[in-house]
Amino acid sequence: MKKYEVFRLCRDAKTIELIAAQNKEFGFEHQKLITGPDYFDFLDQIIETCEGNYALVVHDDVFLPINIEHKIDKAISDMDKEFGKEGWGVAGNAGVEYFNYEAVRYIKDPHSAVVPNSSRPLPVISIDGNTLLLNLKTIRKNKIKMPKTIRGFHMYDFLLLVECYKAGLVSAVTPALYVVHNSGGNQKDFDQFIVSDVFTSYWKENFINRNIYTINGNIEIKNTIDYLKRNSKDKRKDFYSIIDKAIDSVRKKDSVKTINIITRTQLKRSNSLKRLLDSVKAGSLMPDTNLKIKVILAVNNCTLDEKSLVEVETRLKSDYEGLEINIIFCPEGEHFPRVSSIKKAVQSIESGENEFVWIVDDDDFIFPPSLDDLNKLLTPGTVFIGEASSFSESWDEKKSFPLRSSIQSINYHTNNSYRNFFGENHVPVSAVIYPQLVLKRIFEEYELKGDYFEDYALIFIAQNIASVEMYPVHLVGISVHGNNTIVSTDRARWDYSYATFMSEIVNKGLVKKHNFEIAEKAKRSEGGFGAHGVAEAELNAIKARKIYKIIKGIEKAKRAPRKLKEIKQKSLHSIRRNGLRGFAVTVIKHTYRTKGKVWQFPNSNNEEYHQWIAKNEKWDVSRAHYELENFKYKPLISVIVPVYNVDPKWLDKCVESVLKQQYENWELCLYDDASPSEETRKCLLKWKKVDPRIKVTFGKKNLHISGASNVAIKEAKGEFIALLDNDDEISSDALFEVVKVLNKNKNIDMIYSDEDKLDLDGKRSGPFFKPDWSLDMFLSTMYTCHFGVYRKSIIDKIGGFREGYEGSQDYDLVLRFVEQSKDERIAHIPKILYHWRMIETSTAYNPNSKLYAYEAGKKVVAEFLQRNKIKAQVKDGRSLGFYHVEREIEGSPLVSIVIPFKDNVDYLEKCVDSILKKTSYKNYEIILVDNQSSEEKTKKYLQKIQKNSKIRVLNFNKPFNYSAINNFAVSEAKGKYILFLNNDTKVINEDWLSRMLEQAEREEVGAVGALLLFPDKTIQHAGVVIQENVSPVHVYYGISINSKGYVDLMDVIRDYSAVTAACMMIRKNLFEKVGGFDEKDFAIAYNDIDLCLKLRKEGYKIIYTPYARLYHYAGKTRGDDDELREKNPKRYAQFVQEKKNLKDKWLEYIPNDPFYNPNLK
Amino acid sequence: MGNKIKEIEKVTLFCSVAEGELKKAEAWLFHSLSKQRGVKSIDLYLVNYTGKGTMYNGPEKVGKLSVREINPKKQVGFGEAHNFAFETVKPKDFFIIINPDVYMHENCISELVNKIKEENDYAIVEGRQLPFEHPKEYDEKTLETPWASGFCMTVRSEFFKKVGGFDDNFWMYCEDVDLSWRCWLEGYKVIYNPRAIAYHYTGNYFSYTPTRYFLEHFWSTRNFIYIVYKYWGEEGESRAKKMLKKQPFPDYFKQEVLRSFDELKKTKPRVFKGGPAKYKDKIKVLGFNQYHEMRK
Repeated sequence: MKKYEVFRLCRDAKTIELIAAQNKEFGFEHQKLITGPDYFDFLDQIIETCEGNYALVVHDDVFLPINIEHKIDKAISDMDKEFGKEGWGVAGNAGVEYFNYEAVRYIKDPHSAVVPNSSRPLPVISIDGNTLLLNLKTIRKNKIKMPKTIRGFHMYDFLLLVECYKAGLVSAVTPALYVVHNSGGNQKDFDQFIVSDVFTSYWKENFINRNIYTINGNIEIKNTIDYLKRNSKDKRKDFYSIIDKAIDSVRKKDSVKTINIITRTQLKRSNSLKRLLDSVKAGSLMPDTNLKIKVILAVNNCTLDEKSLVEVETRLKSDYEGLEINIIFCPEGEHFPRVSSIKKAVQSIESGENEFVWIVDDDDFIFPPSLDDLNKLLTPGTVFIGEASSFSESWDEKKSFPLRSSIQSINYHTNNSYRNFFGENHVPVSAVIYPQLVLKRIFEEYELKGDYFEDYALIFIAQNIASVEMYPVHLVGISVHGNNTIVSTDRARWDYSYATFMSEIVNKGLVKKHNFEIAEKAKRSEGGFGAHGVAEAELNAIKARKIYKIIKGIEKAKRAPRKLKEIKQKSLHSIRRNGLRGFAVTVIKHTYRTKGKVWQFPNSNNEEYHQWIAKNEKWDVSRAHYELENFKYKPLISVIVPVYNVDPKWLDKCVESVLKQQYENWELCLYDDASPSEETRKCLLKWKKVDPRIKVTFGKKNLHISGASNVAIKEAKGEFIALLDNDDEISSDALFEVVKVLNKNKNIDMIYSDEDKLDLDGKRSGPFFKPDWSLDMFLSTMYTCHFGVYRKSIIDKIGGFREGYEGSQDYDLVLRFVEQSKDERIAHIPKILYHWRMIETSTAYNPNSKLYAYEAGKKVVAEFLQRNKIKAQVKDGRSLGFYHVEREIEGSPLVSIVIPFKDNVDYLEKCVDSILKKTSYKNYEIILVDNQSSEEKTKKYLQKIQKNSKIRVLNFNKPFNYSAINNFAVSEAKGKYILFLNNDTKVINEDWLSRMLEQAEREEVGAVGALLLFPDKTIQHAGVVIQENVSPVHVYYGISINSKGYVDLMDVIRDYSAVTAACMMIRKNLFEKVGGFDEKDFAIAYNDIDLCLKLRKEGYKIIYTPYARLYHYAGKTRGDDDELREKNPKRYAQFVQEKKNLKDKWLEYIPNDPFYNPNLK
Repeated sequence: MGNKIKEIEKVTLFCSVAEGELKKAEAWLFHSLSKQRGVKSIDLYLVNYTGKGTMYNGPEKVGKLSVREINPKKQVGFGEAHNFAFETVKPKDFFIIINPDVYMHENCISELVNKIKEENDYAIVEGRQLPFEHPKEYDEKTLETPWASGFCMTVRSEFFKKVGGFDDNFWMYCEDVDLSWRCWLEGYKVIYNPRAIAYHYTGNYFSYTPTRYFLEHFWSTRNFIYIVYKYWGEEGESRAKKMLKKQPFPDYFKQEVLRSFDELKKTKPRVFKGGPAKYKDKIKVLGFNQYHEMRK
């Protein structure tokens, strides 16, 4: 079994790729790279499934040391040592420490400058998630789980720590987990999260506190504290008491340690000495410290006579009964009494590794509560540096108290103690506790002469010969009284002392020249030492910070070319299917072609789609939250979920997906449609308690889907209604994306998104990438489906769902809805925001089983046509779920079919023959435009055909200019409608012209295109999509219409941005109104695209109908690009120029083709 | 050392305490009381302010110190706890109020008691907190101070009875200011004795959780409005509320304070109308939650 695993939480798939590459290089292949919107879930999963007893969980922008394995081992052993194997839950590297509520960071990130000089874990009250080491043994043993109600990626670190403390497990930060972290997180995200309902309600349910100190700042929660009496039912706890309790319980005391307090005194300041001894006595009385406190009074320069000395000694021993006080006298005439008295005192102590020395001068006093922790913190052989506070005082020696004593802002914080190692005397002597053996050795090996710098000399040498620990425990109060007498009155002695000590330590090789230079530099640049110095400044900086840039590596990764760009052609086909309890959902099979190879997205899981997800579902959290924060409009969205007998397993997933929403202003209206299942109802009751935004209603009798939904809608309070099925899920950004759209345009009434499917294991497949709103397509199939969000005022106006349309009630709803809205008020989000779950018990697997839904759909469309006075009938589409609205042709207007040609009469003949033979609509004329044909064969054919009264032949005796030829023909045409047709086409179905005419007759329609097939029945034209840089692309090009199970969205009447003029119908007056084909800029190519775009710009629709089918032997007459380049470089150059013309003309107008999903590019 | 002070026969102390604070009280307070100079015997009454069970199982006598626990049988605030102790024990001349986490200087009790004995109109004598000293305003000659802190004070029983003890509307914080002010109004004096030293190792670094910090803010803020209302009526109330508005507290906090005050006001607490002009150097509000000048 592995000891531990390393998990990296990545922001997106791109990052995974980047890190995977790095990991390979640095030997971190075993890291598990995961991405997703929910760190809470990750942690739960890690706790549940990680192999091994520990898990290291790091952010994607963390650089771990290459030897991280050793560091993990060290972290574990340090934590075990500090808190016991069973005593700790999580170790990290940054947080707010327990002792002083100050930030500690064993980390290099854009903010921190100084790392505290402690090598021991410091318990924390909050922790930063950049790096977390989970003690899975204790976490599992205590059954710790992440709070269920909160999801996302904020404060999961803190909440894990909270859950650990609740179970009595301590969390700490340790230098063993030092990393370089490239980001400081996003303060705005954090600020927003901490005021969120989920977080605050979690907090309020568990704790009474209002203040939480975190590394990102102080959080204040509007909590209810019972000021007078705690309600006995209120089981909430004081968070900080829980921490106290946990830390107390794991700090098991070691063997008894003895602290020898050495106090240098002249016995002159007896009152201040008494204060010190009072404080020591109070400390020694502290219960359960497991410390033995002894005092050694090292008396020097004493002026008292012997008798008085005896008196003092007797008095002290009686006053401080129970406290061992030894008095030693420094030999008379000793030149350096301050240092030699320490030496003598140290030597008087019987050596032992549990003997410690604390030098506290007689005008200082200790803080008794600090002794609480010392037994555990003192380590044999290690110098312990704590903290001190200074008090400005004035003393009247006749009185037993200072006249004045006020705490100063100067405190000696461990975070500043590093200065000591750079030649600056920063640590007060009384803030250090030495192992007796260390001091003993110093006095043996170093010749310390001189007085005033002795404390500095001691710590300086000690840090070179022993390990040093810094721990933020406030040990002592230092009395500062009067002026600095030493410096002013005894300057020479001060300087000589300094010279002597420095000489000694330089001679012993402890100090190198550059250290001093660094020290000098540091002094100059940093100025004086303020209060908490760096720590405080740092904390302020953290509080003040705004948004940070994402690391460069990630940025680069984002710029990397997307492989999917290579995909050239795709096809969509869908199966209309009937969802659970009759919801009709379209299932799409998606085929696309890349590099000549055909790939398919089958309905089951597949790698291609997962690659697509990984590459395209970018999870740029900070960006999203930044946007969220800047939303000016944050409407309430009511998510309507009618519930019926659903397995709680799926209902949980469904509700959780709503709880995970980044956008928070929602309500979830769960309406139980009188489910017989007790389980389902229990599950609903459970969720009701979780979040106040979850509203659960139980219906008494079964109303079926429409009725149930209506009841739920009636109770909804939101401005918008979102529909969600009880076993489906929405993505965490679903509502965010919806509101984002609403912020761009407040007038939007209906929003729908792309969707895919979930299998029972939660794997996604079968994406349905939809086009933007197209009423014609919608009349062909209910393609908007899920996720659908609707303006409630309109839903109310139309009275919600109607009964009697079961299976297609949503289709009916949307059709009645859009009647009250406008095309431009319907928005599509080209992102997968909805996951539809395939459940065997539902009808998903067999679309034929619910024919009634399909029939209902037909009724729905028919009623729409009726209401809107559209003369048409609804016919069956090519397969289940598709309809064909066949309109009546008004009158029988003349259609002029314009066919330009130059020789190649074999084609022309076939073409003309097929028209004449097949076309059922009879009122047409054929205009053949001869463009400088020269062959004899052509002449003959023309002579023959001219006999037909339906045919006219015109001559265009100028060099080839497609636009000019057609414009000329139109000017000669008699028909109200023009049909442009290529000479290399052949009619397939008899009503082809009628089907085009029925569309062309519609006032709102500009041009109509047809389905053109290659002779092998693959698609030549089924509409034109305008891609990047105004590149027109034939959709579904080259896809066989006979491919297996093929039921295609190309097989419906729908809007496109353009259709090909190889077969295009247009009203003559409209053609003239927009200036016809552009003869100048588009003489040979793109004239049709340009024409369509001109029409679109004027507000006309371009309609494609698959019900007009022709063969098109394209390329046979003009050849393809390469051929053209070789054979006719001049024309090729013109072709290139015209392509550029198209781009120049339309680039601004067409940023995105609305009728094609950008994901299919 | 060795000042000759007339020994005091007996002193009564009240200490409002809960179980969690008892260990420290035993270590520091009991010990330091047992070592007091100039006092023959000390009766310490532990007021179990939670009203629950019995917490003290230690010895009844520690040297000159006798310890007894009394229980109001319900949870009570600071003022109410001492009112209850006063009613129960009926201390003769004086009594001392002391916090549990205090280590008393050996002369503290005698300094407190001897000082109050000096003059009949000394109704309250306050001790001095170290090492985190409160920069109190007091007259160095007369030792008069506008108000005394309840962490360590001697109170004259006659006065306490006369004014009906603490105003328990305060629950916690500020009841000592109110008691002091009523002391002045009744013609007594509040005295500060800087020689009566009690070490109180609390404050900045020790046992000061954010929760407690919050409670202190809440009660001292609400009670600030209450006390100003109590002495200056409606006019004072609106003045105090204006001051509250300017404080850097979050709005919800302010709202809660105001709501709590409104509830209290509904109970129609006694109000001293007109404000005490005569004692304006003692009974004064210098700023938000500030009742005397601060020394530097």
